[in-house]
Amino acid sequence: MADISGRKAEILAVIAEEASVDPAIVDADTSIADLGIGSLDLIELIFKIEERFGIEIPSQGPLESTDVKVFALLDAIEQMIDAANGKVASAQPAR
Amino acid sequence: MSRRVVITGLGAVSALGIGIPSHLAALREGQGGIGPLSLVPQDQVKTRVAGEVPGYAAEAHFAPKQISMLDRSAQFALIAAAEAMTAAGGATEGVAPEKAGVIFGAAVGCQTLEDGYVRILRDNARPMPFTVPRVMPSSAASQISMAHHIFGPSFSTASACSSASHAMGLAFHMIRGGLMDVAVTGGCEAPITLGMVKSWEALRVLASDTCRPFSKDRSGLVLGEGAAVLVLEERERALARGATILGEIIGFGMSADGADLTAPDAASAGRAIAAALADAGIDAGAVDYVNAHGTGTVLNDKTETAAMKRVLGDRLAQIPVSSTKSMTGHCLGASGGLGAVAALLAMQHGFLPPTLNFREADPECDVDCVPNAPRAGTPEVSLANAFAFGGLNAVLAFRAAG
Repeated sequence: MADISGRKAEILAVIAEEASVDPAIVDADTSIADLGIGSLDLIELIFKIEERFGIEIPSQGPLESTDVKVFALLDAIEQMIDAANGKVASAQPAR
Repeated sequence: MSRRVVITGLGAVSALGIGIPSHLAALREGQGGIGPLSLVPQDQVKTRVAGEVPGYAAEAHFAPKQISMLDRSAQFALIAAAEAMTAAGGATEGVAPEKAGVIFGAAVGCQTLEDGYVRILRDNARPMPFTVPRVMPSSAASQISMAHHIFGPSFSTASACSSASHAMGLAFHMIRGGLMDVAVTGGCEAPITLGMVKSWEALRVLASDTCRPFSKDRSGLVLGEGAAVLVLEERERALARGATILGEIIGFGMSADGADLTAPDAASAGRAIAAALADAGIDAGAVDYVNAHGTGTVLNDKTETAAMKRVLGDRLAQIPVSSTKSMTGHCLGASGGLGAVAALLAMQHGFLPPTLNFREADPECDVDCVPNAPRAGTPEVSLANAFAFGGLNAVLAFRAAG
């Protein structure tokens, strides 16, 4: 497994929980679809990530399809979290 | 010779329990299911009783992923459909994709809708992601079609408390007319939510103590929840595959009052009964049992009595007429289906289900309502009435299996 730590590990944990898999099985080639996450599961996953990290994931972007690689997704979501924290200092995570 | 339509599978969920065996036992023994209201916070409503499905836990029937897609109403529908399809045993095997369908009573996902508003207005959060598929009134029809790989005409019928009856009647006519060979039909409802109980209270039709159909001291209806599912098949096909025949649908009649929203109309309700008899090609003398709409409101029960008198005439005095809503509560869009189940079980097992909680005769409801205790009886032909708010009436005629 690659060096996934800190917030990326948190995000990965949410994804792994949704897929009911061990996060350790995810490598650079693993896509969301490979984890058995279908299009409906993806809607639920996006919702959970948004709620957990207080961000809004656009409809167009890395989570548009289940073909996206998990690692690419972690990068994209981490950027969204950073952007959200930077832009609105007082942003509260949604409940 | 026109095509005939038989019932080869039954499933039911209500205050009488989960499954046909518990319904049969309760109906035959006169054990009602109305009890203390527990699904809604007591301090926010005046209502104290309801027909809740006893001991229901969604987790015992569905995986968490399924539950996120299913309102309580659709959960009941799927449980009853699974029972009915298992009982029917291979009903859709070898049927052309376009010849099997799901015609099912519409039910709004009330709890899901209310949970969404709580999240929006109280918690400043968003509704859950699958709110739309859970609240759409066609949810149960869709879910049943997916669960049982049914590929033909499938949709929901909406007529409030007649929804299941319109669904069953339409499915019957579609099979009889050759449009389908097999149909899964019925209805479901889960209206025991804070918003719905308060809304029914606002309408001032809920019983002050319990549901007492045809009793002079009746004070209103009791809300119930549940689902009923019938598997219908073209008779020759069902016989050819060796299916167990549980009964036959022989007639279906409909009418609209075209007048008041909540006050029922005896002439119009009578027209629906007459239409069902005409559709079945029988006269009043053939009717042996009526599963009444019998909600327990002052107006319904006397209007229903008047409607039956108009059409059944002198014969009515010899016909047992019971309201099983006294046992299940009024399950709204599921009620026509549960009434059909009660009538079919009565014909199949030779008994007359009672009207519970009856205390005092009402001259305006002078029917033999099988008060308080079931009786032996061998009805050959039964009617099941459904007269909805908004004046949408649907009556089915059933014959016992030959």
